[in-house]
Amino acid sequence: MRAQIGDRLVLAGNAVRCGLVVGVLGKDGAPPYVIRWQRGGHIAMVFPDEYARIVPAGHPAGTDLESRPGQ
Amino acid sequence: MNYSARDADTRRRIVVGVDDSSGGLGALRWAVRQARSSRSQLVAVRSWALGLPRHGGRRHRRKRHSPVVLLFTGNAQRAESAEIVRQAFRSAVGGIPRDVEVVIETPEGDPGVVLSDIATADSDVLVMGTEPGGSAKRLVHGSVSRYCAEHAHCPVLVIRTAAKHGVPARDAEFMHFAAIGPDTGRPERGQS
Repeated sequence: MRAQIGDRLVLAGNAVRCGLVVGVLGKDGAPPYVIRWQRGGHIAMVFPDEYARIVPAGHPAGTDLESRPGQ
Repeated sequence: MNYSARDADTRRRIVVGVDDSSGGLGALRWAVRQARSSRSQLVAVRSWALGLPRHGGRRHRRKRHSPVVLLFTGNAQRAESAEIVRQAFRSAVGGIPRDVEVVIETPEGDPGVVLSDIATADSDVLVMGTEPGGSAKRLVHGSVSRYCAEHAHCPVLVIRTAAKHGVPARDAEFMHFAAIGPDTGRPERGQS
């Protein structure tokens, strides 16, 4: 998994959550990532697994995920 | 990559309150095992707050901390909380597991309130350790596990400090696990 600052990280699950990548702690874009949650705006550190997806900066996919029902 | 949308949609979260007591490390061990066997997301939470020695990440007190906070952004406390989380993972399971999705949250606030606010879905499981009551700390700060048991919207699992009750920590973990119901998957029994 590769990411750069400005990408979005989408974490799957019963509550889909999306965060803006503000820090890349691994080498060459590898995890862990420091993210700012889209909802709430606080900071977290994430070690993602294969359920997570990186959405490149500027790509619209996933921007509406947090409004999904069931949260 | 055995990604499946269905798996992802039904995946639950294990939210664990991190502290370095033996109950807290037991809680972290349980959470890692449970997240691994049920393919859940593991959310490790260590909150901090100014003025609360136990809750503020100031337990490992250092001389260079000024007693008066003139300019405050929270970055030092946040970094210290994150370091406590990483150290707890090292003590409990030898490091942050590679095969489990781990999210480390270091929010500001009272730990009971913060944990209850993060574990909001019915399918979440909230797990934390507890120390024997009756201490001065308990009098001043109250019981985090008791607050969560009363306020959280999901099952709460409390791992007691084993020595107090004379049972090995592992057995205690499974005893408490049985109390939260059959719908949470089963932990792997083979590991210590």
